[in-house]
Amino acid sequence: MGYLKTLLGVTLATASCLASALEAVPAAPVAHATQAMLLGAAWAQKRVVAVGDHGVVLLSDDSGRNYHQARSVPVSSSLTGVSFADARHGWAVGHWGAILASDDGGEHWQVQRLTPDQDRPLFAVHFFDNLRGVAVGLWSLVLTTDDGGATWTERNLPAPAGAGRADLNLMSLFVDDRHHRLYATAERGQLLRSDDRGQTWRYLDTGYDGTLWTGAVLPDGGLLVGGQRGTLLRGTPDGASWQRIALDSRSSITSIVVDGQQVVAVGLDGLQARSEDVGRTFTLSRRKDGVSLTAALAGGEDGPLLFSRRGPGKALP
Amino acid sequence: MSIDVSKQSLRGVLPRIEAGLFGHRRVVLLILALFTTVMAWFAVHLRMDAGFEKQLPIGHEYVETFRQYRGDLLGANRLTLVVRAREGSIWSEAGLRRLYDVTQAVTFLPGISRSSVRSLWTPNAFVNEITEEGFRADPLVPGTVTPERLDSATIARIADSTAQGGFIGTLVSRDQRSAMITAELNERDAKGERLDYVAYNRVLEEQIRQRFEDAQFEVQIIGFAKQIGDIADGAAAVLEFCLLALLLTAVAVYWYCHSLRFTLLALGCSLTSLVWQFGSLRLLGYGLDPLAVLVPFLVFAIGVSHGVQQINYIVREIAAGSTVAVAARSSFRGLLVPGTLALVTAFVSFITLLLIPIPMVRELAITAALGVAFKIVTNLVMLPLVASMLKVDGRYAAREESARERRAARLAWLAALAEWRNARWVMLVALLVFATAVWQSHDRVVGSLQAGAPELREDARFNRDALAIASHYDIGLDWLSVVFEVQPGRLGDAGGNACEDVELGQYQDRFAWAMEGVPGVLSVASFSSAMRQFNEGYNEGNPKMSAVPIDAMNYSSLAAEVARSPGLMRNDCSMTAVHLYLADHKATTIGRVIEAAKTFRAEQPLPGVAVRLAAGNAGVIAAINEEVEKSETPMLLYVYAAIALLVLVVYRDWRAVLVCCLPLTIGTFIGYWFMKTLQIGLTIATLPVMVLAVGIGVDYAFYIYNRIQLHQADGQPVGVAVALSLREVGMATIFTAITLAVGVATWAFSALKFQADMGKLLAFMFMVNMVMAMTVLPAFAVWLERIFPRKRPVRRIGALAH
Repeated sequence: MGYLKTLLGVTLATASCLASALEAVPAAPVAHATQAMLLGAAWAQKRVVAVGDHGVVLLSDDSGRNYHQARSVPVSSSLTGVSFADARHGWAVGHWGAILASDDGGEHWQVQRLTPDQDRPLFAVHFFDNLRGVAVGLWSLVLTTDDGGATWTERNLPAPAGAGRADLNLMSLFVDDRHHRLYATAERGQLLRSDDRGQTWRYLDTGYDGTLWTGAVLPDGGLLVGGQRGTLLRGTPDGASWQRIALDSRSSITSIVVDGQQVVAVGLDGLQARSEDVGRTFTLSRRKDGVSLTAALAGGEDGPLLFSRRGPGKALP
Repeated sequence: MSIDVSKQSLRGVLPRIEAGLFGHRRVVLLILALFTTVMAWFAVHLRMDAGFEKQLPIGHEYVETFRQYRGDLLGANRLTLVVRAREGSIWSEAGLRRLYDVTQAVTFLPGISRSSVRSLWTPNAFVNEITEEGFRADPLVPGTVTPERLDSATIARIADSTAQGGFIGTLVSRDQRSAMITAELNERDAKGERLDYVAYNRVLEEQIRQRFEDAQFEVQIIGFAKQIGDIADGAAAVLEFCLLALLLTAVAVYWYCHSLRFTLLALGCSLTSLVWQFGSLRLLGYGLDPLAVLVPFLVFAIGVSHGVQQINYIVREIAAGSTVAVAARSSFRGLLVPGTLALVTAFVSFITLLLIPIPMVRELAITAALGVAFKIVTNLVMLPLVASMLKVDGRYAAREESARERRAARLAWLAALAEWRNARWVMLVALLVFATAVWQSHDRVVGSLQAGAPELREDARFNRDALAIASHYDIGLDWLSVVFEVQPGRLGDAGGNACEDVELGQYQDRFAWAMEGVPGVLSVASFSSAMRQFNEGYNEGNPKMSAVPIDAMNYSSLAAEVARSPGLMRNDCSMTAVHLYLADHKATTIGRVIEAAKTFRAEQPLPGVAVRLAAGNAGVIAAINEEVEKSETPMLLYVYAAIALLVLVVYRDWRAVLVCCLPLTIGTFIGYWFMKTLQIGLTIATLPVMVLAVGIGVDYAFYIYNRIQLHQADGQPVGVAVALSLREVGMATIFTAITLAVGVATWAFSALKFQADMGKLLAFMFMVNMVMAMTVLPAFAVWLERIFPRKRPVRRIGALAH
């Protein structure tokens, strides 16, 4: 990502000379909404809420069998992550630094934050309850709120080891409910951990060179993170030591979910990997059409719900 | 039985012309013979000639877009070749080597834009590899690899990068058994010489297909050049059908008149005008377009129909006791008015084709109109002149007359139909049929209904290739390109850079998403989607970064990357394109997509950005369809107006106008019904047929009405006039229609689908118009006289005699 970052640095420094008057355009209600790429999904109690490309928000009240498009979404840019605190209150984040909030279970959304003058997308969001939440994104952007998103505070991260300043992209969030810990996966094999709901963070080095796109806490307390080209790393609960898990694939891992005792990782080019031994070994399968899987959500009736570049996918067989 | 017109004295121009022509018949015929010889010399130099440009409607919005940006977009004049392994995958030494050879051969074909050639083996196909270290662009086949030095490791590497670069479905088929080569064809070379598509097709067959297709590999070729070449090959076979039609016509004419001389006379005169027509085509610098190859034979058919009327008249006169010379003269005089009327109407029908601003159709209009104009000379003048010099023995005439009477007696029931008590029922049935036809022909289809090349049959090699390619590759054969044009004003006076116009990228992204949902759109490839791909690529292939950047610097550097792939934009970003790949090129599909694009453009305009429709082959097809659809009604109205005007001028009777036009209108709508039932779409091939069907169909009406009018002028009541007319010309008319229908029906066996369609449609129209003229016309004439009785007697035709 070095290339993009240099450019961004230059641009942000010179404060964007052609400051465009970009205005958000509400997402169009379309018949082909279920064909949109979906990048994040969450449960709003019994309802599945999936967000993705073109401001598409899909809702399902029957565990992912049928979806309908949310009634009103104020942006048509790409949404990358979603989190619900209860059946009604939820937040979605995405490009243009967007944070949207819904208080009716995802049917209608309002803008809480939008920065069209900066190309600094948010990649993930997590809410602990309907007041306290964290959103992370490009170039170590960390935002926290304790008033349900009415105000968002930018948190400055410490520089990672060997770097002058905090500039790693934070690609995803996952939570350890038992210990109230929040993890953010990042570039250069870094995993960040916060024990105070996103206010302060420390780096855990997995020793991997590439970017960690996703992660999860395993049933035994261990950590599992996924990265590019089939990289899966299993770490001790404290994140001090990491071990690479053999996966015969060059496809990058986009999402890891723990569904009961089963651990499932999905990725580009239709990659599906399942572990029955708490993430030590995985059996690999591949979606026939090779369509990239982009998100997964634990808790479906027949295993995790999968989401792809072309909309909701079928549950793992 | 017949009325001897020759005894009636007519003052004015007509008799003088008649006297002049028949007085110097040898001189006149000699001049005609000389003219024919000269024209024949030109005619033999006539060649098949086809052009892509000729099919583009002039001044149409879509075509303007296409012309303006053809250099920047994927051209519609593109050749697509596929090398397919008959066994196993393309990833073999032999497979890649064959692909290399074909790529080389294509690159050095004449007329090919060399830099546009694209396959696994060309440097413009590169893969953007995403690794932990960053982003790399490498050619698919590394520069160090040559076809002589292929090993399995290298091949595996190439296969790998092809998959990684996303070329499965574009450069290599989804089943990986074949690989594609695409190339743009220039219609004019550096010297401005036009490409000869017919010859080019042979080059393709000889230098590509024959050389590289064998037991191991199949070579599939599609593209306009191939398509038009195959059509031309098929069109050449039309000659056989025309010879067959000629033979059938000859047999039929002989069976009708039992005279070899008259048979040869009718055919000879028709052929003469054909020779003139071919000669004048050549003189005008035109070639014979494969799509218009039937028109001369249509003109020939018209000629035969007039010839039969002449012979019918002459024989009738001879039987009535005239000498051959007198009979020919009176036939000339008696048929000059209805014949000229008929031919002028056909002439006007062809001329109305000029309304369609498509050069190919206009060419067809001019040549066909010329052909019809020649007919006035060959059939209305030359035929009676030659006939007057023939020797016919009296017994022949008597025999013929009695045979004719016998046949005519069989038509007595037709005359009975026109009696008042039956006429009402005929009218009622006609109206019911009319209403049904109008209702049934509702929502007729414009354009072609079949996938592949509509001119060719489904099982033609071209269409099989097209289908195979369409089913194994993502890139459909039919695409519509929408152009986003940044107007100068948008960038401001400061000289802003269109490549930093992030708002445009977002706008196009929304457009592309809206179009993805339109039924019939298979996939979308656009500047904005390429931006997304590059953004994703530069960010390790993370789907979360699949977005069009909104930072100007980032945007412009990605735009520079996109500019490296062909066909998506101009380098200065003043034009960026959205290519919509369609499931097929049915008019309904294209229409739906265009409608959706126009709706988006109207509902969500972006100031200073013009969203222009529509390049791509589907854009061209859409433009042609729109022109054809737009022109049809005015054309038919003009033809009817011309008929009405001519009839009014000649007969000075509004009843005549109605009597001639109503049966014709019913016939036209039954024709539409037929088209819809047989799934024949309205295209540039079938539109002329429909317009002509009116122009030719009215012939029957003219010949019958002319007799009715004559008898009425002689004081007969309308019922008797109708009965007499049907006896005199009814058989000749029925016979002509059947003969012509059988002749054109043979086209149904043509290798070209559009010819088969034209043949079926035309045969049907001949029959329908004949039936209408024989049943509805007399009934309607009787009915009109009864409902609106005349105050003055019917006047003798004098329009041409003043």
